[in-house]
Amino acid sequence: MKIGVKLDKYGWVKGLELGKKWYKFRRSPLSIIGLIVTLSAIFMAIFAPWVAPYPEHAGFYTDFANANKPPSWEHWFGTDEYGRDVLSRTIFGFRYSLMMAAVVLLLVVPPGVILGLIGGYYRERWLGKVIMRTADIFIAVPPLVLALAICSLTTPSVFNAMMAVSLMWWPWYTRLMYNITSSLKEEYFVYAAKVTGASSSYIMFREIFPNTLGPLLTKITLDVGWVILLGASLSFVGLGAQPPTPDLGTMVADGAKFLPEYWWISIFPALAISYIILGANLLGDGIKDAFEG
Amino acid sequence: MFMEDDVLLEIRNLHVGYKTHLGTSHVLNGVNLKVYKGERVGVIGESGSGKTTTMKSILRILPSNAIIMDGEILYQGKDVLKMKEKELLEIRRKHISMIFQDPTAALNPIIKIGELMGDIIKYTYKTEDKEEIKKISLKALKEASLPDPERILDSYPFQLSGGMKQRVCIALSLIGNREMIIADEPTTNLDVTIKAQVLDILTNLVKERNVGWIFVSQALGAVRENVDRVYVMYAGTIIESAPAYELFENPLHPYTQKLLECVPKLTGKKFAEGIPGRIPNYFNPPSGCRFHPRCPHAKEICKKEAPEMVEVEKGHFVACHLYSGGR
Repeated sequence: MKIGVKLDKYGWVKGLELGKKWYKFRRSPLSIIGLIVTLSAIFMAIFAPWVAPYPEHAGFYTDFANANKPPSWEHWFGTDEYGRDVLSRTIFGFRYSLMMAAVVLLLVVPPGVILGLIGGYYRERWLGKVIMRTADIFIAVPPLVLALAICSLTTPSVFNAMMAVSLMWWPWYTRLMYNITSSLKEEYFVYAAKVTGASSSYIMFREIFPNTLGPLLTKITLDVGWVILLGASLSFVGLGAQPPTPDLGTMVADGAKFLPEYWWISIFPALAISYIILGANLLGDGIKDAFEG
Repeated sequence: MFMEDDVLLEIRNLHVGYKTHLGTSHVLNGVNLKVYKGERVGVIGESGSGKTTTMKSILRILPSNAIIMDGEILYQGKDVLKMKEKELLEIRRKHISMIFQDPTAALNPIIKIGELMGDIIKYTYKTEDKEEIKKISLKALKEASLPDPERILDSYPFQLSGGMKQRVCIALSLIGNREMIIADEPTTNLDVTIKAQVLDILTNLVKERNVGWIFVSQALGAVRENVDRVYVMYAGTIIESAPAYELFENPLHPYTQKLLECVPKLTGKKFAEGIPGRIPNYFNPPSGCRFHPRCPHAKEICKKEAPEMVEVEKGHFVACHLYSGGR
């Protein structure tokens, strides 16, 4: 697949028509805000040690003289019960949240998409039926409950939380791809490909798959927010990242016992969670607009 | 005329139905059709008479709810319906190709014409050489009278007009020396001004290459001029077949007579009457001859017995009780 905006001698955009998609994307100011928010979160996550004012506060660090200080010019988001700077810890928290989203989606999207393509293409054969009924079983269990069950069976850690979330997330991709594939497989271009002797795998991956990219990318972007939220929920109930890891969910949980007096300890990490999720959702909407008609 | 042992494709007593939530519809009710090497065959009939279903069953691309109840489709003596996946791919890659009604739907919107053509050539000619692939595709596009083939290879389908897209489809269907081309209403979805042009290109190519051709169409004039033999289809049965000139000069079956009367004439003063009634319900088709509820000459026997195909004149077959005892 070629990427890059290049005009050929007839003035048409080559490649994926990125120029047109970018034009549609930037028509909505909200999409641009989403893009900026998401990029800023990614930037802070990658360059956390340089961005954060007190990078050493991310780990084991105590300074009880400065504990529970309200927001000030020195500590914009205040300090927590051990005297650690909440702003620095929040910036490091982006790392864990985005890593969670990236790892889960990398684990979930490829198998989910392939299973969905096969399930949709062989819809009326037993292969498709087995795949889709298995996916249905996973969908039938409430996601948070399943993740909680898995996490409580194993030792709580970030890794186990990721595994638990991945295990219950793939069927959504399978469902999405199944629906798109089963409608696309009745299109005439699929019949035309069959008539010229295309094999099933060729039709699935070369004819149908590229046509699903729009909805798929939208779903992935929107899911970034949901995965982060679920990860934070698991951390909040103590089944995800363990202290002193600066995970946003853990920080909210830690500060909750000091509410409402020392509100800044949990409110600022909570707002940071909303910040990423909002950014991902706006970006997802923008991508949807760009790919639609 | 065509020799008896030069049969390219023969459909024998084909019965196809569709499973739906209302039950099973019995659409094709014993279709018999024969195409000789290099013969051009026209299939005409109302919408819903099973023309497309017949064409789709030849290449086995029926929708998933279709059931083939009975019959044989012999291609060069081998039954397509009993073929394994591998043999079927071979037939589709090298022997038979099909042109669809709507060229816009038949081309994948996000694959460039060049890539699509390249893939087809790769599998048909078994070559990986890029230069050769490009040479073959340029030649194929030029044969379909497409101007500026270089640009077309680098275009997406939406950058081309309807007529150009259909010509691209024609070019695609002629890749590799295929022995047979099925054109399922190839001009129906095109602009009136383009229709004649596209049809000309197609018929010339078919004549030049001497391939077997099935031309399904509603355009009776086009069928009359471009084919050797015409099959008339009604409600899933072939009811009449004759050489083109013979059928249009001397239609025998009451349905064919009515159908031909429907063509508006330049000289005539009155409008075409049409045929009263419509195509029967396939879930519960009429007994006997499927045309009897609409037929002006219907007799008692028509309701009970399905008529056999009889040869009334040389090469002119008709399935109607009016002619069962000769004319």
